[in-house]
Amino acid sequence: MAEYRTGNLVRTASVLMAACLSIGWGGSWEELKSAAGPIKSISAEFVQEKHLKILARPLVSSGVFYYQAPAFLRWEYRAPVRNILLMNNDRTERHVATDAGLVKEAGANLQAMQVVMEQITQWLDGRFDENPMFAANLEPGPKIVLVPKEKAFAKMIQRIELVLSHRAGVIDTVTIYETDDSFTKLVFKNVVINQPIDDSVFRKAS
Amino acid sequence: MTRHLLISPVLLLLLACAHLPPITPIAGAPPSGTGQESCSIFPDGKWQFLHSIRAEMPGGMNFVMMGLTVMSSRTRTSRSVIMTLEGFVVFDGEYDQQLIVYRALPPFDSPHFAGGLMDDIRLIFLEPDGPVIGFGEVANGSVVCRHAAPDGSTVDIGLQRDGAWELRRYSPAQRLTRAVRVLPGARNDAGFPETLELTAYGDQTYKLVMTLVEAVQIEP
Repeated sequence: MAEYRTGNLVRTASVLMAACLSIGWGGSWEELKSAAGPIKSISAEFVQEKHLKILARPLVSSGVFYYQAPAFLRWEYRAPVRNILLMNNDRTERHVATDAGLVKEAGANLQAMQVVMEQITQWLDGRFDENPMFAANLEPGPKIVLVPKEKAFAKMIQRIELVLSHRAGVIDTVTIYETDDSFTKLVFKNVVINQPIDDSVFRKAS
Repeated sequence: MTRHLLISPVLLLLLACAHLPPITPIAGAPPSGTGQESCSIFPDGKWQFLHSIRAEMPGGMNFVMMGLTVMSSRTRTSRSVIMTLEGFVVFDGEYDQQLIVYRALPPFDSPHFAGGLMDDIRLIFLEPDGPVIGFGEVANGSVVCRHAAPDGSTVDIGLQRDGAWELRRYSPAQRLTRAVRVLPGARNDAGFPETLELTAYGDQTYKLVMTLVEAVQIEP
């Protein structure tokens, strides 16, 4: 785990963002764990803002997200470039919209995703303080701040801040800082918890 | 399908062997819109462009990234940021008389990649370095403005009557090394092409299909 490839980073963050949605409202790690326990599925819409010092205005993307325990994930951007990341147990793939329709990426490094998938149950249990990749701090707000433990990973992600909603089981925003002036902010809305999600959502990129 | 797979490498090989074509001066007055002034196809002022970039690499590997470019025609500077579709910056570099790399994550961390990327960006967005040394028609009917770059390479700006244009860069040995093709048709509100296609020839062949997401003028 000394080196982290870009693919790992992206997928780690995607799953982390997914897991974050399931955090229950609470003022202690124990309360978070307790509130996150019953969550078996999540879906939500999101708006993503990419901030860079050189940008005249932030880059805005939007999409939807679905998670089903134990290890099914669909992270879908609908604008400006439609693309779908599907994680289905031991299989991970990305499909990108082109003139010829949705095209599966070939040759991407997806192997390390399995490592992340093994950790997702930890996160969904609200056990952020047990994640081997991040040191977690629970701050007033409530807010969770995750800081990479490994120097190699810290070169890619400086820290992640999660602001919890007043609604139990929901968070308002996730902000991923690459540096102080380069960060990605995700704002979630219309979060639905523990509603049935059709299996095809996680198997078909349509 | 097999035939197609065989033909493509052969075509690439033939194109890689393409040499600098001779230019025939245009007899009489050039047709409207085909004078040297029409070779000014590059963005004027300071702009921010966001493209989705589909990369087709050797061995059948393909992937899509986001490319952010901030360029100024006046200062002849460019800043290029490559991001994953999730917005993570994997490369951030600037060319302002020299190349400065601010961030480069694997597999985008080789000096060869950084130099090649910034060269490609400058080819696409900035008027070529060096004087115009030729103007006329080439065998395929395009009207060409030919620039001699200080490094010994040659850049042809080829204009077609249907509005399409093409940039072709040749090595000092006059072999084709890059081609940028703009298809006729769709333009955004500011008049920029919706789709650019860059093909690299030589030791490392690849193709980048760049689709414009947004163009923001920062300074006139």
